[in-house]
Amino acid sequence: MGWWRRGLHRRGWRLGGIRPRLFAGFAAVAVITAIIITSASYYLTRAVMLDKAQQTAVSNLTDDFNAYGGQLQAGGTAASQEAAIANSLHQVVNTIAKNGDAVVIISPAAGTIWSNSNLDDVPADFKTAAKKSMVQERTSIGGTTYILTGATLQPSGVQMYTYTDLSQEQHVLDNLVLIGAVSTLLALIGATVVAFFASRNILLPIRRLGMAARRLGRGELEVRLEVNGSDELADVSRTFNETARALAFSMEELRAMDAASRRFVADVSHELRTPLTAMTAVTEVLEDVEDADPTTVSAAHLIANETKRLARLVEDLMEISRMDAGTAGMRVEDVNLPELIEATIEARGWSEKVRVRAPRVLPVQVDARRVDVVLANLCGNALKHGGEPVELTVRAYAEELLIEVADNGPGIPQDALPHIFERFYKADKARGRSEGSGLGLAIAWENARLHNGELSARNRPEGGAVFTFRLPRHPSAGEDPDHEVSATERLLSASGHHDTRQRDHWEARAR
Amino acid sequence: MPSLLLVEDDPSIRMAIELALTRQGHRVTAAASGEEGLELWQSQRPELVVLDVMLPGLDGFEVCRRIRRTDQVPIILLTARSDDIDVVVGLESGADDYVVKPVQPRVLDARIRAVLRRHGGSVPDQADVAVFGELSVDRSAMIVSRGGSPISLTPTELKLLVELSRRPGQALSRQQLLRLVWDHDYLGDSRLVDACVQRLRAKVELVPGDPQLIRTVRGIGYRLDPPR
Repeated sequence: MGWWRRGLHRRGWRLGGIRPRLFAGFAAVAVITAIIITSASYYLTRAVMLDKAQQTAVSNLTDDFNAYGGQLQAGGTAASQEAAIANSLHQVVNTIAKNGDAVVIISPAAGTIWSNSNLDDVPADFKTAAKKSMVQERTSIGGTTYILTGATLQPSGVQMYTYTDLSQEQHVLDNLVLIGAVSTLLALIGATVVAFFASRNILLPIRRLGMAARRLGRGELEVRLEVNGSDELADVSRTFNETARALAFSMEELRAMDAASRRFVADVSHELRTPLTAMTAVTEVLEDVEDADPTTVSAAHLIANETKRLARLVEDLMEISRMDAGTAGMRVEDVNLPELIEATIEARGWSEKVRVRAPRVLPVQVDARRVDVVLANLCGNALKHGGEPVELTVRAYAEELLIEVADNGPGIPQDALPHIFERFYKADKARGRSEGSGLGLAIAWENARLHNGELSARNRPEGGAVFTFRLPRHPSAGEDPDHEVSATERLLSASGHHDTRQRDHWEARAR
Repeated sequence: MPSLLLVEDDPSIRMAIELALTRQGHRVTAAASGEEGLELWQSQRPELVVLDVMLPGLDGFEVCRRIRRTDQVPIILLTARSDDIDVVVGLESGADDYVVKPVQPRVLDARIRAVLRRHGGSVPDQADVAVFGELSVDRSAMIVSRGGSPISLTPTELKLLVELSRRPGQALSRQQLLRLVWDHDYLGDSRLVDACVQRLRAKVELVPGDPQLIRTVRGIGYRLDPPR
């Protein structure tokens, strides 16, 4: 169902778009013009033809009266000569009828009606009107329109009426309507063609503009439009180009400033390291000071502790500077994730405090040091803010691994959740300073990103915070120049694993 | 009391590390430049060299290379950063291990002792010789020879070869080797292993580019095979 919709959308056929509106406008103009012209000519022609037919009918009747008046008069008075008169009137009727009209002659004296067709009577009120003068009216009988003309011959009182058939004229008018309809249709087609080209001329530049704007939005700051002509669309294109140029310039400046400030941080941390190295080397001397007076002991211990803190902060700053500069190298190797997790926890003495739920064997290709940093951060954070027991759960899916670190503490304040991975962000402002550098979670986040994974935080409905490290399962990372195959089996047999499913997996990866 | 040579140009760091290592029970001679370091190395013959990488004049890599031309004395590099080219170049120039500044004296001491242990070796009680084609590894006398003529190996290279020779045909992961040879914890730098294997191959393989003894097991690590 979707493809045609998309197709229509692409070609600009959306309802309310410029193209349908142009088409509707052009079509409306064409149709209205054609209808006005057709109806005007229809009514004009009709009036002229009707007028002419009426005049012809009158003059015909007058002529007939002049020509056959005598015979008619006679027929109207002398009842004695009935037969002859009847014959003569009959002749008159036939003669008059020859010009195509239907003729009705009524002799009041004889009380007879002569007619040459089945139209053998006239409405009574028309008869009354015809007694005074010659009258005319249009009447429709059996679907045909006639002009009925009538007059009374005095003194005999013989009435003569003619029905003039208007079907000829009607036919002409019908043709006129047909021609009008055809012209309207042609005008509509013409309008469609014109609208098509007009809309194309407008829509093409608009579409180009839209495309360019989208590319600009995607960050292709070098995109420019070709400016043709000097119309409004050319103006818009020119404005677009200027805007894009200005944007590129600002972005360039921003980037340069950003790079400079990052470089500054990197340089500062680097410079701090030399004195810190010397200080770190002798902190143990200060830590071991026990036999001086209490003030000196406290001062020495304070300096030793703060030196360690400072060293950690500088290390973190340098690490995040490398990440910002994109020089943080990845050393991807094959690692059994549960082993790595165990090592991370053991190395920091958390074995009693962190409960791990993970499969026994889960080969991954990661930078072990970076994953260690992430895990240590999440667990350390959970222990510090959430308290024991901390649960670390590994869920393995086909495409990715989810490593969840859950604590049973108070959870993360709702307003802090979106900022938890920001640098130097402190969820608990009251605490002021923490043991860490304030960069721990930010560095963990960057490390996850380097693995094409991500870190996220949420609160559990049953209480406590959960940090999730989503780690995609990579295909093979690096190629060893001189590799042999039997690797997996040897390692598996060496570590005592005979899980067939796992082995299949390993072998698939080894190839 | 092990005698160490410390080569470090920054006077404060030199003094501090000298102080810290002396406190840990080492006998430390300090040099302020690569040239002075080489002189002292020749005159004093220390048991181990701690070498800063960034030195004016002769840098740490060059000092390392010059020492390695004639001597297999253990060398630990002091580097500024852990994950750049420094470490790789340093390891290729023949260093046995490295530590990143600012280093905790405890950590440096542990590394020094681990390297020295490799040198000391075990007490030979009975003949323990493994033969791989032309290569023979005498684990009791700690002598490696090819076709009868002994090969000069650094203590780290020797330890690596010995550990591999104890498990012929079995793949050892880089992390396992780091634990066995370097005494590192689980998250040691696997580049140490790779660099050491490269150096070892250059010395024991007939064609180092086409190794027949120390084979790479893709995705795992290395194993020592009897030649086919």
